[in-house]
Amino acid sequence: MFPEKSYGFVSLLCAVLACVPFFASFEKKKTASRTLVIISVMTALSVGGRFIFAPVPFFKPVSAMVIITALYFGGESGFLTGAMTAVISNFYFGQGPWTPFQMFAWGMVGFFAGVLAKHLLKNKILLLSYGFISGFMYSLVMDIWTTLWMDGGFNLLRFLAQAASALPVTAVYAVSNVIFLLLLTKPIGKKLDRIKLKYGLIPENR
Amino acid sequence: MRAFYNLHPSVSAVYYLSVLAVAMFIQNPFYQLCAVAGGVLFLCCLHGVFRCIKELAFFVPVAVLVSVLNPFFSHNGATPLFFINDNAYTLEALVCGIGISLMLLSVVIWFKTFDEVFDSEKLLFLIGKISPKISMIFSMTLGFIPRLIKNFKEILSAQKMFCEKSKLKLYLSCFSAVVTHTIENTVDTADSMSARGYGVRRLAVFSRFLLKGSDIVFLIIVLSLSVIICIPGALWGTVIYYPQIRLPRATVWILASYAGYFTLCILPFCYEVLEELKWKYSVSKI
Repeated sequence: MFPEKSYGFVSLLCAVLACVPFFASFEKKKTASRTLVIISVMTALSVGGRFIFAPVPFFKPVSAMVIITALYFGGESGFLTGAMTAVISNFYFGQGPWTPFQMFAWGMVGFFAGVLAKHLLKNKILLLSYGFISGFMYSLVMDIWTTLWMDGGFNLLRFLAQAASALPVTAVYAVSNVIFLLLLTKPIGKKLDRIKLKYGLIPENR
Repeated sequence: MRAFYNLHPSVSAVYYLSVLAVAMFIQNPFYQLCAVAGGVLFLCCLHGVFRCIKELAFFVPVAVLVSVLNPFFSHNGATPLFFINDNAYTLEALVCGIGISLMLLSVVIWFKTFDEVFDSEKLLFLIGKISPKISMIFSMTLGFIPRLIKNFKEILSAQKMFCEKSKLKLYLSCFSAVVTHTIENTVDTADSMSARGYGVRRLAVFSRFLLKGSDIVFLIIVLSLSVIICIPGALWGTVIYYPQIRLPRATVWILASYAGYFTLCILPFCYEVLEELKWKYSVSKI
């Protein structure tokens, strides 16, 4: 069935399948309406952030919002917020074969932020470096896939060329992640904590 | 012209899956050429010829660039055209690059039509069938976004009047205000959801889509074409570029697969034209 060089196809399939367990487990268990609404609001904020900050070039709070969601509401909410952000923002910016990869990459950024939440919340430097590294990893995943798909195999030279041509954007992206995490984590975190306290909103999957 | 748009979402999803799967994953310029041709025709139907040309004016040069640059990335191939720094610029790599750029072009064009045909409502319907909860989040988010942006603009216009802040700082403080506002309102939304019986039963999804006779006919055509295309295509359809270009043997099956894929790609265009003619005909009878 598979010709020799079908890395592009297989990796796309992997990205799709990797998202399935998260969605399936979320679908199966009982979720409070508040959790549901919080996830959709955080997604809306991170997608809306892309528009809101449109006049400030390159600075987009998307990943930062995903990470903050994960920090305060756990890994699952983080994954869902990241993945949903990818799909929904692509309704405005154009869908493509990259959509599943963006879902996967952003979802994972959120998931790991949730897993590491305790340490990240305690240590600011760790949090900022997480934002920086996740920015780079995100672009790297996308570049790797483009290479796999275009060449039907991993062509190091093309990958390097792609990564190099994307480097300025990637760097600005990683730096903007750091800046937004630095500026937003505390105020938004305070608000989320207050909401949690005020309405007894304790997500079960923390 | 909106004939194809009015098809049932699951039918158009199957259609896009089969077109894109072949265009993206079978390395053979014949398929990609069919996809580009069909995609351009369909895009012309959707956007009008002028806008379509304007959109392509950006992507075609990029595609040319990709194909010309490909030999710099891979020096495989048996027929060097010339040498740069002792690295061969080979014919095979150039042809392979043309194949790659056709693939990119076809995917870009088909996803442009996808954006037009597949709006969020259709995706919501499809997700809702599989996972009602995700589709609930989806639809709520889509509702929140415009409200949020409107909110932000109001706050910004007020803040601009009396704040002497740098742009980034101004935007950040307004964004923060929007966050507070939305999150506070959110809990009300959630409570009202619970009060109306969320969680009592499995979520149901409302849809206005009905599977019509024409949908079923279209689906059968697409599925049977896919079988004709994909089985020979996946088995023997791949073009091997290195070290020498080797086309698949032109058996009956392969030729049927090419013909089938060409038909599949121009199907939306034909459908649009057919419906337009039907419309003109019925208007002329009045």
